[in-house]
Amino acid sequence: RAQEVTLTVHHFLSAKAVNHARFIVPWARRIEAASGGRIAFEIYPSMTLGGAPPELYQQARDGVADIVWTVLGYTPGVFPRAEVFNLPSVHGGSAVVTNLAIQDLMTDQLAEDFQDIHPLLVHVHSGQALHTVDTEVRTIDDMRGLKLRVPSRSGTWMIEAMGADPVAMPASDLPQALSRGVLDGAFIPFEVALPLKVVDIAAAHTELADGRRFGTTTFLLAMNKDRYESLPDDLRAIIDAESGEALARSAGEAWDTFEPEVMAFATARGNAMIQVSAEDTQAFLETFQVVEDRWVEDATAHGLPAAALLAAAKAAVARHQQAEPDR
Amino acid sequence: MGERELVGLAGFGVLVLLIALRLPVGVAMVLVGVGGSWTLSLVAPYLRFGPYLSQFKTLTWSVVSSYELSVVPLFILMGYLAAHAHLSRDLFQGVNALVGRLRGGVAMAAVIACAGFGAVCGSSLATASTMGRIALPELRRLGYADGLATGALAAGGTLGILIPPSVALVVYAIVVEASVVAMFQAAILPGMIAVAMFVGVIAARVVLRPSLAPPAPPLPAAERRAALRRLVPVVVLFGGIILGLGAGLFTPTPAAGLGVLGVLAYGLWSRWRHGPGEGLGRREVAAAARATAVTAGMLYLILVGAEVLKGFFARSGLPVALAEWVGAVSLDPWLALGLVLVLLILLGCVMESLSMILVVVPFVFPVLVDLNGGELASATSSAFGMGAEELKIWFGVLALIVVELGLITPPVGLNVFIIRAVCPGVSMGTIFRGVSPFFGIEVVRVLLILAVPAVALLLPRLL
Amino acid sequence: MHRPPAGTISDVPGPMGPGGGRRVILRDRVVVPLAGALALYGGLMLLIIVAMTMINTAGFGLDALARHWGGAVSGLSGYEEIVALLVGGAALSFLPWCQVRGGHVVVDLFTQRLPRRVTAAIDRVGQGLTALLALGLGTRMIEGMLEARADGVVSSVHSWPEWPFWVPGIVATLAWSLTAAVLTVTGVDPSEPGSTEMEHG
Ligand code: NA
Ligand code: NA
Repeated sequence: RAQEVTLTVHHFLSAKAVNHARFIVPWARRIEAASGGRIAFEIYPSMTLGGAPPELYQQARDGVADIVWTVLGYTPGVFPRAEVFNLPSVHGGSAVVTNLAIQDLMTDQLAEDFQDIHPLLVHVHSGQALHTVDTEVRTIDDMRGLKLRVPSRSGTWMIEAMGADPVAMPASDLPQALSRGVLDGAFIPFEVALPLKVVDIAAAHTELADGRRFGTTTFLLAMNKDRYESLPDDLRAIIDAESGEALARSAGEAWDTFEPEVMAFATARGNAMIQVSAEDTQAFLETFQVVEDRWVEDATAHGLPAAALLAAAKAAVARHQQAEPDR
Repeated sequence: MGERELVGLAGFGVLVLLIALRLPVGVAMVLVGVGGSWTLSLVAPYLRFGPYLSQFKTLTWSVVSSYELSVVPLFILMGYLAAHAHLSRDLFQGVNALVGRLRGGVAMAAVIACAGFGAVCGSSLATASTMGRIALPELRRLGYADGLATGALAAGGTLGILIPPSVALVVYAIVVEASVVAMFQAAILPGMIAVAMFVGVIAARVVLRPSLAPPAPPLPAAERRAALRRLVPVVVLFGGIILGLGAGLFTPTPAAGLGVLGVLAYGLWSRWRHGPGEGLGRREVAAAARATAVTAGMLYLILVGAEVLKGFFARSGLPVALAEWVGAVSLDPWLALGLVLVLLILLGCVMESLSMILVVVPFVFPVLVDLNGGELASATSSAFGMGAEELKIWFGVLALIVVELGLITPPVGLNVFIIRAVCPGVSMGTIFRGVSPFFGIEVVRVLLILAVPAVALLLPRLL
Repeated sequence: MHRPPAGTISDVPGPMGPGGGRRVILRDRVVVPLAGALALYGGLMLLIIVAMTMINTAGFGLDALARHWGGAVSGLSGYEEIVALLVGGAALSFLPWCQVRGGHVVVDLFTQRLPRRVTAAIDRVGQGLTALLALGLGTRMIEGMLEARADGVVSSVHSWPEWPFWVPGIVATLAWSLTAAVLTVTGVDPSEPGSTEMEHG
């Protein structure tokens, strides 16, 4: 059948990024195939349609692009509920597990964050590891006074709670800042550490016991609401089948399988790959609690049922972790 | 080529037309971007125009409130403060005290001072104008030939673009997502080579025709000592900034901030020490702020225009079509690079350097990356013998040199205009003839960097 | 090539239309002083950024020293985001003065042989289009600011609301529109006050 609908997709990463090559493009091709060619996608990477990454959410809302992929933290304050999944005390170390947990909360607890757009998928990456240049972080005491790049709002709190100094800077400055000693390290996933050459600059990479990470970043794949609703039912069904829960697992797997590839590459380079011992992890988890308390206080002050939301999020993560013990 | 790509091409034509009709370049860019996107929405209805317009709610603010670009107005302010605090004069007189006794030495001092001031000021036009005002009267008083004097200053003004920091360098780095500091490092050696070559051109011309530059009478010893003394703060301030940036001690914005602080502190001290007429007072600072407003305002309007235009060209599919076409005809990579550089020189006759970088580079750079062997090409497998990251830097240095050549090429070059304004008695033809040997040596420099990429890449590799 | 920057070469005045008296007063008593004041405001913002840089760098410098004795001193937290928020307002504040001084880049290679009357008319069209453009950008920015406020957009380190930082930028953009509109009617003043020295694009 003939092509009926062309959908534009806009995001901020280059065409060589994992997200583009292993997530967005395969997703679009699957839908094109499932629709028998009635739906076509035009994918614009690297913000080529104009604007800066923080504007992507508004672009989806206004229809500047039909579909965007963005980071919730680019517009702090706009998604106060979904921010709960950034918290280091909520996310463990698996994107699949946290992705599935997020889907459980989408229809109810998180719905209000996304009412102005049609969310196709809210998901996370595998989580931040700590990449350090001169120090090897094995205990919380090693963190004192380190200058670390801020990954997100709650990431700032986490760095402070650990006795380190948060420094905000554009990701593009990261390699320079690390190699010049402006920064001692950064909290980013391995998937991002590779293209930014942080793997080449850093001497050590730290995870917690059992591969637990230092919180994660929440992403949104969203479609313009009117555009979605204007589609005929059968095409909508095809998109539905490739969004939400159905997509959460494959997206998580794309990230979870890429991380070990980069970690193997870093190890082969001779970098120290550190997993903090179970006892020493305890002290880190205590700082996670500080972050959590601060988030609850802040969110409650903004009129959110923060404690209930947190409990639901943790319960959902625990449930899926149990169902997927290997992750 | 489909209808959409044709609309994109037509947009290019209309843009050149509007600019040729002396519409402000930034305004023309916005008009073509919006008008072109409207036309595209007729050709391809899924590129809806109503929603397109809503991006203007945030576009302006997101362009101007950029941390990475904040270095630009700061360096501009620093340049104007330095000029108002007479640091540019001190620089010329100081260098002159060192080399002025040589045959042609005062012209050499002017070129070196242009490089030094252009280094911190980042604007070629401001450099040509400021140094022209200071050095030309001295050169004419000593009886230097008009062609040599004005040519040296018009050409010297272009040195600033490559010697870090420079506005064009920052913008190029942001466009191709290169490290600003790596770009600065890459530009240092080519910049120094240019200074040496320009000095060499002056020496050669003076040897061939001694009458061009009469010997300068020796400076009285006290005057010479005073000039050298005043050179010290300039060298400390400017050298500190260039070294701090080059060695990567500072990231760009803090370096610019500290540069402004240093010039301001020196200017205030100088006023306190020497009284009105020297250093910076309230009036000079205000004048520098207004001058900054003119230069920075112009740059920001072009940046907004480029952002609008970028969205239109992306929607037209023209960049992708161009890349596919180049791939299909299997163009020789070196030929393609040569064509791009020639295109930039030709466009330099009709376009301003920053808008050229903003409009042309996003089109041609991805094509060059493909020709080189793709994003992941290694030094051994690639056409130019370097990876994509180094290609960014090397091409940037080449592109910035040729873009800036437009300022001194006939039929019209803006630096030549500026020098003419400072020195009204001299004919345009004389200045163009005077500048032509410098143009020639610039072509040699471009060929050198093409043949030996290490000239640009050595410092980023080492530092 | 490009139009010679105002004041440095051949400052081309727009012809004063007959009966332009009151409009010229609007230009010289309202628009020009307003644009000048905004330019100084922008300069002031840059100086505030400079002061913050000093504090931030001092923090880093002290830290480098303190580390020798095992201590730590922090820089200015959120330096980058404050710079971004301030420089946005500063950049837009520069536009009216740039308009007054005729600082926007114009290529006059192809029109320089035309009679002055014709080029002056073209320049007025350019001014008028700039006025419309600035008005469009300014009004859309108001929408954007209201949306940012409604969405509760905050900065990422300090959690400051972002919309108040837009206000000076919007005021400046609307002032830019007014400036261009008035200059469309009156033309540019040849004897423009202020330092013409060293103001160029
Ligand atoms: Na420079
Ligand atoms: Na030219």
